[in-house]
Amino acid sequence: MAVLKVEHLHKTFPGGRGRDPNKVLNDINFQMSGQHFVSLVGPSGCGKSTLLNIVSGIEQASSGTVTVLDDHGKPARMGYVFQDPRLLPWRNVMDNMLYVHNDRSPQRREQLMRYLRMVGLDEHVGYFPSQLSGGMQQRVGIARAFGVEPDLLLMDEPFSHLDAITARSLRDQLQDIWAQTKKTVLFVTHDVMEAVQLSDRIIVLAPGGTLYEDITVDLPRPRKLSDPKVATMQAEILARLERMTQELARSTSA
Amino acid sequence: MTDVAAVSRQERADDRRATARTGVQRLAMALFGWLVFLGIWTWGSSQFSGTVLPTPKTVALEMWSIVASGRFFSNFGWSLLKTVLGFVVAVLFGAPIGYLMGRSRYWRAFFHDGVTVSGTIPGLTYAVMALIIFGISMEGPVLAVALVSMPYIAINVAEGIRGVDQDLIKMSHAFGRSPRQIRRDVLVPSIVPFVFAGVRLAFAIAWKVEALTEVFGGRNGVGFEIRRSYQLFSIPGVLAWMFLFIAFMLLVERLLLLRLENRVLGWRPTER
Amino acid sequence: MSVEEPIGTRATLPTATPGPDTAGPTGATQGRWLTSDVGARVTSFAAGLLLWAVLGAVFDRIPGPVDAAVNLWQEFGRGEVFGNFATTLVRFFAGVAIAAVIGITAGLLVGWSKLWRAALSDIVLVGLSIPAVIWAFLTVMWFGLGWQAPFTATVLAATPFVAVNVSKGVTGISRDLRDMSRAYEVPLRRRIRDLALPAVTGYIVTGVRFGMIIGWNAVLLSEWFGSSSGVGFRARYWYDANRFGGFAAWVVLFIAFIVALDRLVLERLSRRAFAWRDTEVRTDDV
Repeated sequence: MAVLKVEHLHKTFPGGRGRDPNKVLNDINFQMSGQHFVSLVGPSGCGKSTLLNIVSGIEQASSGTVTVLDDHGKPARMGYVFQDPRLLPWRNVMDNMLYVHNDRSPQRREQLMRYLRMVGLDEHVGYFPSQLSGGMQQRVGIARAFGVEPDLLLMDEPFSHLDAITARSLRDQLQDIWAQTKKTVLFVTHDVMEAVQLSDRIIVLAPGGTLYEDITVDLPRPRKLSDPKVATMQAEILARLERMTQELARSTSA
Repeated sequence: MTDVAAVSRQERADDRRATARTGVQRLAMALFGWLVFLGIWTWGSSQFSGTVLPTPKTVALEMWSIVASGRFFSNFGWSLLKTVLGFVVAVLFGAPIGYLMGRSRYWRAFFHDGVTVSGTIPGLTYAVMALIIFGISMEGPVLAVALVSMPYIAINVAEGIRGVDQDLIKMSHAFGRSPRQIRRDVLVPSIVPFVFAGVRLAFAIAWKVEALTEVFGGRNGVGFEIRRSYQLFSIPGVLAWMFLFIAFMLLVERLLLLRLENRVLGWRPTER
Repeated sequence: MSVEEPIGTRATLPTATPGPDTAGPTGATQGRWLTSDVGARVTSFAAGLLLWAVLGAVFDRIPGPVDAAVNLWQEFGRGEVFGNFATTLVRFFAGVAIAAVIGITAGLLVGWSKLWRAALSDIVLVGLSIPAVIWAFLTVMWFGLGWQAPFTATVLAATPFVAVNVSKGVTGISRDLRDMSRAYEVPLRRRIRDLALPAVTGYIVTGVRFGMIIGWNAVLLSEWFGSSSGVGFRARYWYDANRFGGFAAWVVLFIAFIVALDRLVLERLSRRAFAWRDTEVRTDDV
């Protein structure tokens, strides 16, 4: 498990030819730790993915600090699940799992098989990505992230490119694995329903990159979509988001 | 882990400067590459005798005299004409073949070998074949261009036909259009951009084969002039015509064809 | 995942599913064989042969297939085939080997580094545009009638094609995969071994393949114009003697060689190199 601290984070993308500089993150401050599932929610272009990229090191912030430490105060290990599977197309499933590890010992393979079993792909270790469906490839991506046994798991809209049925199935699987493995998860999505179903906490980013709200979701697990309490909370959060859009529209026109 | 501390204004200014710097840098490197190339060339011609490797200046002067005397325009004009005629023939035969290949599995298999092999056949074959059939002529290069370009046209048209939105066809059926009407209003118009793509892809190859055929049996044109320089053992001549040939080809490809293609294919949301 | 298409001289048919309407059987059931894929190809070949025979019969100057076959037989009898082929093949394969070395190096440089790309890409472009016949002329004028001319012409003609394909392979290494490697902090050695190298291998094969096709043309042209041995020379011998039957025999030989090399060897290698890309996608599971 990890401790993630984000302090006074700003990010501006420089302008290009005929483009203005674009401020996507504006003074973001939050903390998270322990076995917590936190979602970042907001409309497109509000910087959620950028925030994730900065935390993971793929991008640099313009200013501010991000600290990610494990329980012992050392730099945390991170796993990352992308919108698209990002598997090496010329390596089979097991080799893709091994790619992110420094050793290929039998013990390592056995350990990775455990995670493949959790996503139900243990029979497909020898397959190439092109031989798997989109949902299966994404499951490999998830297994790969869990296989690293990270302290902090970053997920960037991992189900947004899948059809509704596959996505539902994967959400349930994700909840199962998370319950078993107790990770700290930072999850980006534009889908509020998904956020309510999966998270303990929802951080809402507004367009322009400001942190608008920090909502705690205090519902018992496991959560079913059919549960009326889940539906109520979803409706409530959607209403708050509506209010946010209206407020912002009013303030910009003012 | 990621401990970031940077000043945002500074970074913005840095980003702007960096983009400008790389642009200038790249131009400088390209120029540098050319200068090095010319330098090596000049050094080379000082090592070997002037007849083996003439200096860049000699070649440049030769190029200039070719252009100034008008030989450039007349010869390139003829070669271009033959190439265009060759394309016309290629389209006349290639488009229907491509159509058949796109619509019918049988024809696709039938033409498959011919089409794929023709790209492997050495250009020498086309050139001498044209020579045998037509002797020293104008028609020879036209035939060679036609033969070489036909597969490209056929394949592109075939691909295009296969890709014709099945929904458009179903929609046409739903509105009660006859097969002939569908062919006329949906399929045939969709061929045009693919014919064009085929022409553009084939241009470089066709242009080279045209010149080769003229080398073997042309009465005029670029290839003919190159052969003449060869027979006079004039290395400056061959090099001069070569550079003009390349410049012309690249110009036509970039300026003419690319622009035309963008116009013709403007309605397409994504280019292949 | 999108992969850049390789550059070459060939028109290639994509291997994909059949066309919209007549989905005929591929199986060879009696009577249906004629309309099967194999049947179509055989019919095509037969039709081509027939067309050739007709043209040969109608026009005086054009040698027919029988004429060519007879001459081919005689050339074997005279022992002219193996010697000349051996000569040409040595020059050809040596030239292709050197072109591969130079081309792969240049391609890697151009693909990897923006600076090298700026410096070299114009030169590669010029190299791609120079018709092989010009190399044939230049090398003959430079080296005279020895083996150096065909060998050098092959190297000069083939190198740009190898280089441009390799560079496409390098630039095609998907940004997404690189980002993923960075997110997981994969060390450089593994990134080269598992990410860069496999991505490039297919393009190296394609580059060498196109280099060979162009190189074959170059070596023949060079021998035609200025050699005293080899396939190109022997073909010219018959042409000069106005014995087009003999010429046609050699055309058949040199076309058969390159088509066989391409189909039986190079295409197989290419397919294996890209096997991970072209296999079918499963849609049954979730």
